[in-house]
Amino acid sequence: MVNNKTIPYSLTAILVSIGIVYCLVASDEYQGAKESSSFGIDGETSEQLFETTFFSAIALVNFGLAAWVFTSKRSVLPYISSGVVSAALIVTYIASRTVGVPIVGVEYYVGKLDIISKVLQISAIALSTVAIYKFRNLKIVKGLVR
Amino acid sequence: MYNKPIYAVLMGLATVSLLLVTNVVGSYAQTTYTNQTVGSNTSSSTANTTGTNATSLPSNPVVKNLDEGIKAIKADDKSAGKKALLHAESALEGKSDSVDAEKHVEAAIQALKEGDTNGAISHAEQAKEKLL
Repeated sequence: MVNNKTIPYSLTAILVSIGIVYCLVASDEYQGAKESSSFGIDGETSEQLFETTFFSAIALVNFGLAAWVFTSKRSVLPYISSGVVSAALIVTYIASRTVGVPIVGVEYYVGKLDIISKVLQISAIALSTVAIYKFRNLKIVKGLVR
Repeated sequence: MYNKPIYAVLMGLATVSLLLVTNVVGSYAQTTYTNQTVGSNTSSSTANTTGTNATSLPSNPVVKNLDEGIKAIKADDKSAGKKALLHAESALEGKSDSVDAEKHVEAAIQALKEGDTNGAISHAEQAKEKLL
């Protein structure tokens, strides 16, 4: 039988991993911005600085969600938030590789960190869904018991 | 009751991690995405051949940089390859008719940073196709 803490702990670990991946991506973008700047590619530099800021913010959001999931006892909100944020990031990524997104436009590269972050986000959505389903069933059972 | 989905997710994560470590998926994804981009753009590049003559003169130094970059990457000189690609990108900046080529050069540089030389060469070749 699965321990009650399995889902929160697993989801916390996944969210922290997503945060770390985004920190690495932000760091890469910052290095890229410095390089582009040294070559005088101003357009690319501003794009990369925007991406650095964006990915750093996403990393902080994921760390915050991880802390919320870890410390939350009986609330379903952290799981809903984790699922929604992960889904939104996946949709944004797909848009950036197809129709394009503001400022950055269309990107053609699909890197290792991209794949890792998408797999982790899909896992976060799956675990959040299981947790929400579990809460819903628990509420139904409690309602029946009363 | 919730054993199976959780274990399935965790097993899936472990499998994906192993695949990524062996670099299989990363290279496949990049090559497949690149091939799809080439396939979808073949007809448009053919149609644009006559249209690009007007821009062929300014893009020649760029094509030269791309050729140098490809040559350096094939010779395993990544820093020279990266430098040539950055020069190409710098030359393409601000040109509204070369946005696609610029994006492919960016992708080539990113692929090179990740050590994916095949992906880098592929994107550089596509950037050249867009300019010729």
